Amino acid sequence: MDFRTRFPLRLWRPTVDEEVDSELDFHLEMRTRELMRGGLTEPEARRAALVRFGDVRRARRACRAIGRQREQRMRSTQYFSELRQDAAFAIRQMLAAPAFTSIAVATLALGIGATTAIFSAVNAVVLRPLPVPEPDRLVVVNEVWRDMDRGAVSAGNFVDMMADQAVFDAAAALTPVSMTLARDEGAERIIGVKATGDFFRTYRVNAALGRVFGQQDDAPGRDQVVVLSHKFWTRQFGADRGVLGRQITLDARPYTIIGVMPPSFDFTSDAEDVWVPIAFTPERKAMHDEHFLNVVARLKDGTSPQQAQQQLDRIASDLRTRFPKDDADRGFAVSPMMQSFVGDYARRLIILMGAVGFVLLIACGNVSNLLLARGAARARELAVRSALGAGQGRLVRQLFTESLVLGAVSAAAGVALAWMCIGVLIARAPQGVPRLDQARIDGTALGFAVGLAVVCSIVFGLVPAWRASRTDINTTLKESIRGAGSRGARDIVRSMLIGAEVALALVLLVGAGLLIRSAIETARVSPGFDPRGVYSARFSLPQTKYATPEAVLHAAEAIHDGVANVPGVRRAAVASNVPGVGTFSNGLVPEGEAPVTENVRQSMARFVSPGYFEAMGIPILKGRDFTPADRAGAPLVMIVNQSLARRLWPNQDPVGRRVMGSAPESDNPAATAKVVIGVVPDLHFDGPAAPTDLEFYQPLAQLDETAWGWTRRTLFIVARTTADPSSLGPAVRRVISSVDPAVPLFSERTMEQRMAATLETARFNTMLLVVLGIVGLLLSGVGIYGVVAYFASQRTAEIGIRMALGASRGTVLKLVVAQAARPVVLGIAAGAICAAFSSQVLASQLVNVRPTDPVTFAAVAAVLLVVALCAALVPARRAAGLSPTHALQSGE
Amino acid sequence: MPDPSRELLHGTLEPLILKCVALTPRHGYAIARWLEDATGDVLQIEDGSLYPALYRMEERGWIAAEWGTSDLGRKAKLYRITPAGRRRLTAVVAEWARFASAISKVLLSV
Repeated sequence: MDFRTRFPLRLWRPTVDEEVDSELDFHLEMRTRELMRGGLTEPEARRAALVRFGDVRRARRACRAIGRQREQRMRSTQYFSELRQDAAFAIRQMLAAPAFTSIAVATLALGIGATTAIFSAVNAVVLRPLPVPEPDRLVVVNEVWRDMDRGAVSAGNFVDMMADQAVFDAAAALTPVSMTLARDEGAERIIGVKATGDFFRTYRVNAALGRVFGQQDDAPGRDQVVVLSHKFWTRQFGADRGVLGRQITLDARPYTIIGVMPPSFDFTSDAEDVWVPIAFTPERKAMHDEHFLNVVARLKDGTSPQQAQQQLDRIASDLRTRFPKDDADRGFAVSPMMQSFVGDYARRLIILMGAVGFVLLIACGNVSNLLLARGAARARELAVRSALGAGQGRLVRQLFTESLVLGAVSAAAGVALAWMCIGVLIARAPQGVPRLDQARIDGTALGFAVGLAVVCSIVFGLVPAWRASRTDINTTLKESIRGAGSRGARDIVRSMLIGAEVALALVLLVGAGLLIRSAIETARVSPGFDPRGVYSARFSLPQTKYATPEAVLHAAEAIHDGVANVPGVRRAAVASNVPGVGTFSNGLVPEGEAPVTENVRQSMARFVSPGYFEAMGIPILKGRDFTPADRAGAPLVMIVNQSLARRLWPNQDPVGRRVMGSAPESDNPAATAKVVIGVVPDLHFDGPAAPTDLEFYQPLAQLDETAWGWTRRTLFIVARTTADPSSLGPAVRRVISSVDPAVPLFSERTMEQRMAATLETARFNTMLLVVLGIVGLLLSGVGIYGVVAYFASQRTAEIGIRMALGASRGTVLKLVVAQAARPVVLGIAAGAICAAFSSQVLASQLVNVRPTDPVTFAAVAAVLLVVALCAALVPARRAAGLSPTHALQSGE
Repeated sequence: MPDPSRELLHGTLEPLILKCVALTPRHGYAIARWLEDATGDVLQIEDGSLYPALYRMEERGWIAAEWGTSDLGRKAKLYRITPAGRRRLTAVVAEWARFASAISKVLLSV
């Protein structure tokens, strides 16, 4: 290395002004002397010299101006050439130390890659605005009822609210529906949305082809028009631009295609295929007690969500007065659309973002430590350079350039890693995370990665650079000969880094540990039924063809009988819901109590055929199952679960008691009271991680038209088989098409798959946090190893002396390990305190485990201690294995 | 005031300086003296105009300066010619030769 070219000697370097003055003075003095030699006296000579010179001030000004200009140009050239030199030097340095470089780059790339991958997901799901004009003006309106704040809105309440409000530019009520699309061969289930006329006006989105529907289409008789999603148009019609005006048959009704939406109007991965007008009938518009609508609205300019909330509060209080029965305790809640759209995912992703941030910090800690160690090794080089005239600022700048180059290389590797991670993330993530499939390394993510690399470079470059800038030349030059750095301060910095890494790793591991504990607890929870060997699928009977309860029931029974006769089926049943899918609720009142709001027990309704409990493996705890004799005309019956039995009749036998509510209903509730004939156990209906509910069952055969409306005539066929339940599909399909080829079968799953699906999100989160926890653990292990190895190498001479004086291997081991023990223990303590707070963010995801679960904390602390001990023992054993002579020699 | 007829012909100062420092590095005063001697006092340069010219030439990269020690043991700024300066000198000399011969042909012919 040529120091002279890098740091040219500047023994005397005057400023431009001094330079000019001194040069001109020199000239005048030389001229004066010459004239004096010619015989003039000094004053005469000086005057003559000045005359000869001309205008001194003008010359001086001209020279200074040119000089300054030149100085400035040189300074900036020098700056850039130095930067180039620094970068080239940094690259040479990195190539010269391949082990250091690859460890540092790998560590950082891991941190940057993981963080960038998660950031892309957060960006796609949470941060990116909805692709509509002024998305921040969009809100959703929910009904609130007692402690339920995300309730659906009834048609009556929506219509009355719209008539009174003055805060929205436009608003629409909608309901997602599963529709049957008739095709040449068989039928297909598609997802549709039925919406009121202002749906598209609310979003302010227009059709890419044709037109959207509006108010004029949203009336019975004019509502047979359909708008296609871009995805559906491509899939079903091969993006044929001639589809406008053609007809498709949905739920056995013809609809005319009037438009195709642009691809951007497709917020979620499992978004709707078609939109049709909802076309409320006048009766529906007057109905205030069936809550099934989602409401989106666009705020007027200058109206805040709070102002809208105030106005809706007033409207809700009017509605309570006008409809005391239906709207008792009901109100509206306005919330920003984005918030309700990404909902829980935002929270989960941000927790994840925090976790990867911790991994990144640990990675920075490690690289910082590596750079410190290299800084110590290079202290002498830096001191020599400093002695040769390199300024402190110049040295710090050089060290920073090295950090930045390291950061840039790591960012490149990290982006590649992130690119792979995103693929895995999208493939493994649970279904239904909105917009996750749009996560990619785009400009924003790239900018994030580069920003991250720069920030990291500054973070991990700061400590070593600061140390280098404080290095005293004399001490370093002297000490480097003795082989010891200025130890005290630097050791404290190292110990603090180790402590911080351990603390961060502990917080991560506590999170992972809590989720694992929760998963173990979840596995212990019995769902209340036996999901093994049970097949399930849905079918839908179009209302146009199956209008009366008798018609629906007849078809359902035919399908049931057909499936029951399939070889290998032990018991088949038909039901409105099965565990894991969908639900609706009804208010029940025990006979003998007044049918008023305070006495209503809101319970989950399940409508089932006889044999359902046997097919699902649900034991009848008391009483009897439904039989074919429980039909229309026979006494109305009901089976309740244990929780509902306890709630309705505490400490009494529920069998034989009567309960009012649910369908069939009449103006005289007592006339349609149902007799409880049996009790079944509580089910974990929405999966083992979800709480149990109050539940009741009614026979399908006793449902009236209203209740069939609640089911949307979509039913489950379930079958307990002796064979593999997943192989039952073709046989069931044959049965369905023999009953009605226009009825589609969909959502085929075994009950075990349905239960697993309810845990998919939790399992995915657990997996991610465990992976991050392990990465954090390994990184901090590597960090501890590095620091202990450094400590041991610094004390080689001391160890040699101790051993020469008779210290045993054990004593030396203890000596070396003890030095690392203190920061580790302090780190664990600090981490435990942080974790006690941070784990609260996981509280909602934990089943039967408290966020401060002492078992998890103890286990994680133990794991960390063991890893730290192992990481410390390797270099300590090496130190203790030295021969005293060797140790003393190398310590010279 | 210097006699106008002895004033430096416009644009000739820079080639002369280049010629001067091409021989050996010199400081400003030495250059002034060399110009007086070499032109036999035919051309008289106002000392004050020499220095801006030197700075300009340094900025253009024809000459380079460094601080050295003068004959009297004092620190002085020594100018030397750079490779770019040499190229410039060659070009200017050739130009001058063409110019001079052309003018001579006209003025000296009878």
